[in-house]
Amino acid sequence: MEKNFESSQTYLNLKKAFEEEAALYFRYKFFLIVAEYEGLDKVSKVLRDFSEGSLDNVHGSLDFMRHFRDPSSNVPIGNSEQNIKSILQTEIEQSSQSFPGMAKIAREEGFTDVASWFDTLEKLKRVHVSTLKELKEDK
Amino acid sequence: MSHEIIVLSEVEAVRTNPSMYIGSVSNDGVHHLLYELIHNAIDEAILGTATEVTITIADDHCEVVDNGRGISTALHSQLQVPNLELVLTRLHSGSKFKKSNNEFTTGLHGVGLSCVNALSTSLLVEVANNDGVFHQSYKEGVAQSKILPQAKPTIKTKSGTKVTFYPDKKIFKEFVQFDIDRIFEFVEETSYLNPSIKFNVISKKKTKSFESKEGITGLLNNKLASTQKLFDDHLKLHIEKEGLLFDCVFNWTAENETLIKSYVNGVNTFLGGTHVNAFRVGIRKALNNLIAELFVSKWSGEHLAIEEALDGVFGVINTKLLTPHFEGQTKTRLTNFEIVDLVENEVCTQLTNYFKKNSKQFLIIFERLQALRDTRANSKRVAERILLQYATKKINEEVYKKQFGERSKTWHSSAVWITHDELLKSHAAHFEENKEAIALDVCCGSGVVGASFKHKVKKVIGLDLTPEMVALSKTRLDEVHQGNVYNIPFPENTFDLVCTREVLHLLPYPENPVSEIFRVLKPGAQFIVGQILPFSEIDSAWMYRIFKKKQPLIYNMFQEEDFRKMLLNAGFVDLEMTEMNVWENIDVWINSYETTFQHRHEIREIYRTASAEIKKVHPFKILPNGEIHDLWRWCVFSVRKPK
Repeated sequence: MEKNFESSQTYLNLKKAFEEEAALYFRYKFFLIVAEYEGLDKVSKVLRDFSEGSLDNVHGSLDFMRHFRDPSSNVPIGNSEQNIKSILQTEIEQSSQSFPGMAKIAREEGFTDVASWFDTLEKLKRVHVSTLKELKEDK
Repeated sequence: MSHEIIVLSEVEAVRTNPSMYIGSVSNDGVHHLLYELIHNAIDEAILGTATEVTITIADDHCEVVDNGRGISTALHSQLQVPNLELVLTRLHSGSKFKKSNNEFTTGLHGVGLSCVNALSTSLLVEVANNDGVFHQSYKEGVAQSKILPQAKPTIKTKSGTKVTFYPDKKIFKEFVQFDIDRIFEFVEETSYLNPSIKFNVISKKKTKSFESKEGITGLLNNKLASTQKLFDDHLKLHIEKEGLLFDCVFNWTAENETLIKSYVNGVNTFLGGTHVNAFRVGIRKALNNLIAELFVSKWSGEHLAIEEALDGVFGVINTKLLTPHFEGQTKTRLTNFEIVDLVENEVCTQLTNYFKKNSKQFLIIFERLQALRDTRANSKRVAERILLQYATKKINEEVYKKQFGERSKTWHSSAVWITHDELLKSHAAHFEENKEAIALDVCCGSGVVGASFKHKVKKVIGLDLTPEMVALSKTRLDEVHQGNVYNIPFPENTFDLVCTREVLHLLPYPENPVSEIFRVLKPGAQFIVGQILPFSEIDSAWMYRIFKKKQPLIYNMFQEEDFRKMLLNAGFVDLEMTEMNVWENIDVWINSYETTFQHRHEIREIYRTASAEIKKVHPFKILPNGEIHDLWRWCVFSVRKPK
């Protein structure tokens, strides 16, 4: 049965592969720091090699999706002007909704240190937003 | 005594960790030692004291002589050590490290003579200066004597410096001998950047002098020798501000590619960087502004993309910076971010003003850009059809016909593998001579694979979808039919041999054509198929990205196990496989109709950023001029239809 690529399970799976590999990349990086602290050079080397290689895996899935849309923002991937719009949308969403909402919940649940962490992210994202807006106007 | 301890430790530091100082201990590293000496001589010329540099290359050593001031042998006022000894034994001790505002020194690493000395088994220096003529010898960076008067001077000029060095093979383990062609190329390029100096290069193989009065214009003329240029006179831009000297000479050509050679303080920045990018963006801005101002009614659609604005531009950029910063150890990409706005705006302003004064020239550019837009719209439609095929699971013959029709124009020069003699022979080697045999070359292209079997069989028939390829292969094969491999236009049990090469990866559901091939073979007859395969599971995803960006029609990155299974599942037996590794020139391979400029850039980046894991299993090399050569693992399979 013919099916539109964007509405196919394959497309959703590419998105999943992208997200899982992207998360894995940063987990490798994090675990690498631990392995280095523990002086486990062999482990460090493997984690470093894997992290380098997994960037290709992340981008490989994006290669397929680029003609359609950015899996995180649903804006098509294109030239830098479009791509700035795409990350701007994500950063606006994060700074205006996600992180303030997360901080609020964390406070309500009594995890004030985590709430403070979300606050710092929110503020950082606000700076990103203004930098991206400046870039956008510059073009 | 104290200074000796310091001297020893610096020499030892370089010898212990040479890559940190010269980038690598490969052959590149050895040649960097020589380039460092040449750059030192050029620095003398920049100060106005040297006019001639002579480089003599022997197998295991090199000699560089300049007619500059001759390194001083007087005592250093503070350290009380002869200056000559200081520059030979202390890092960052040469005069080039005392910069004034208008002095740009050359050189890649700025580590100077001391590094060359530390990494040489033997180094001999002779200087002729105001105090006389002197010499001194070193072993592994350590002086073997004091500075002594030279009884019989070999420097023929009134003053100058001569350094002879033997790279240490204990450190440069790959080093066998100097690469003469590479040195000639480097010196030739260097001569264009330093038009005031005469360079002589002497070797057993050849001897030549390089002296360019025209500077980078001469280099551009050289690059444009076989290319049609749009304007008789090149365009020239000059910026001299805030510690930056930026000279650029460029022209538009009839080519559909962009070639920008760039240098920073005499170093070839073949990966570009901030100076090149700012130039590119500046051109794009200028052209977009000019279109908006002069031709807004004739232009429809979006602003020019960067690859449109730069399409056909050939240029040379010579930049000088007081403190250049480079990315990574190869130091071939400039990262000085502070120059971006300045260069971008200056390029934009100067080019805009130029075209306003030369409006006829801008009209030529504008018409070219309009034509380019149409071509891009067409190729976008081709890409969309490929995506459509991908979504609908139907083979769209037109997509293949269009692409291979275009490629047929330059088919044999579009990659090394296509006409690689040994590779073709490795296919034919699987077949035992049978003068009664009728062979079919499937998706035959220009027919070179089928032709490689001709001496062993009675007749070779070709089959290809693309009319242009059919015409090409008719010159090699006995007869050629136009047709589709999913539906081979021959009855079953017709052929004694079917051959094909590097085709099945381009076909969705490749098991279908393989079944068709099985059908048309006689019982006991042979199918011989060549295919590029990854070296292991580790490089397959990496290769997939490269191949898919090069060729959007890639549907399968086979691994050896999959390929074997596909053949055996079709019913074939007696599987045999031979392997052959062939170097492919990636720049040639990706200079292809179906590979967008953005994809070409991305492919180069994938090679450049390949992980250590990939490099361990998949050999490739990035040459000093930026060319990428990849080793491809060719597997040639032979199978038979059961009797």
